[in-house]
Amino acid sequence: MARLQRISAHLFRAWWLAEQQFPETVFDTIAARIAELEASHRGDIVFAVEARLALKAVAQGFTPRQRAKNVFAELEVWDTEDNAGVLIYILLAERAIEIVADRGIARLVPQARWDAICADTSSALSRGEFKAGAVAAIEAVSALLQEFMPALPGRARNNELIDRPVLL
Amino acid sequence: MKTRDTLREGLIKRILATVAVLIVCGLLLEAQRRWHFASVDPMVFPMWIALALLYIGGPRFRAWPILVHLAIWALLVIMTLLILGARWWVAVVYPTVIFLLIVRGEWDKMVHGGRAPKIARRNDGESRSSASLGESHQSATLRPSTRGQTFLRVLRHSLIAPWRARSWRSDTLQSAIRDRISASEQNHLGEIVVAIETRWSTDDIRRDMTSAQHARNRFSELGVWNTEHNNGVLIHISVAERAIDLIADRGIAERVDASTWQVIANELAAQCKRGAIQSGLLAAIDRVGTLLNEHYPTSASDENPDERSNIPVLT
Repeated sequence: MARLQRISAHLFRAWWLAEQQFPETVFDTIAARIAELEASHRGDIVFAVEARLALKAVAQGFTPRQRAKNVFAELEVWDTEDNAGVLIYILLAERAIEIVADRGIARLVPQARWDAICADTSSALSRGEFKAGAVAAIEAVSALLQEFMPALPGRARNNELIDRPVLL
Repeated sequence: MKTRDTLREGLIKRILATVAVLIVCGLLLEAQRRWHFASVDPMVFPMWIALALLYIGGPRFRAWPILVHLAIWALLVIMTLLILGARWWVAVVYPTVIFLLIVRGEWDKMVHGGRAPKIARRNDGESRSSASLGESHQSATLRPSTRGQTFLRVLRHSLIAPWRARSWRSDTLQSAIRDRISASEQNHLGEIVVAIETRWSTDDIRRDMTSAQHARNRFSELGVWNTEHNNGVLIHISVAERAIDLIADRGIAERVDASTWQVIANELAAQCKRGAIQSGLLAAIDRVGTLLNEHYPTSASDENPDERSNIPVLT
């Protein structure tokens, strides 16, 4: 039953949603926010939005979590000096958010902190506050990175990954 | 100005989508109305539906060779003609629209909510060392391929490469590689992955990728980056392109001179040219193993888990 619900969500719930909720202007503000916040820590945040998955994959039980891991590889978020890349992945059809953190930062931060961010954001998404939810998620992740991996005074900031959100 | 353009683009897409849906509906109604009059085998209609679904659906669709596309398209036209009899224009227009939609990527854009996927990855240059050796498409500065070249390349990948790949797919070679990698990884903390790829997807060929870019993507896909010390090394062999690429993760790349990888790749290529595939590959694995042993030796204090599978990846 849950699978049928997921299939219908992927069929009907995301038409034009990416265009309405994440137009270029929102992408601009998110990009600026990420660039601004990354100055204060050594991490690297990548933000990816996807409207829906292929129906065949959904029918086979492909979860947003698995997709987020694939996106992590595809967008090369693993390719950072301190292994501190963090992917924030939003799947609009299911109003789902997934955060994938590289091993460098994942071993420092307790799991409960990530879970809290995910819970906050997914409730914002289900209320329909896409932009506010996305920005809040980015700020929360930045705060975590700032706490556990603050910028080192002697080292120049090495922005290795793309700041602009990626529409998949 | 820009917003107006994107608005218009969105409008065109919606109109295209509506037209496609209208044509499908009209066609189905028409077929239903005419069903009793058509003197064709009743199996043709379900077969037609199955073929059409196969044609428009499925994420693997774009990976098929262009000849399969053309064959399915021709079959669709013939079957539609069989079902509809006199309405020849429906039979021509519907597959043509679907075909054009797919070929131009419009279908993907509709599926993804009206915007073309953006592929933008990195802000800066390379951080990992790579060495590559191939016959064709070696530089991005070359002028882009023409359609004819791309078509020939697709043919080479879909027709010649499977035949050429037979010698790479033998069981003895697979087990030899696996055993050699397992033995090598006893002596160092690194991970060696061998990937042998018969052909690229048509999509990748159409994007005019170089073999180095392609190997980089495979490095991502196969998860060679997923190691504790960032010291995975991918030996990637593309049979269709006759290309050999070595990609080393940043941990080992910053300790080893970049030209070393090129030397290993050159030697492997020379061996393959002489037909000594197995001994060449095993020698390359040994040389990479020596490098890893030099910089990441095993010690009693470090545990040495097997993070990446030693079995060569055949695709």
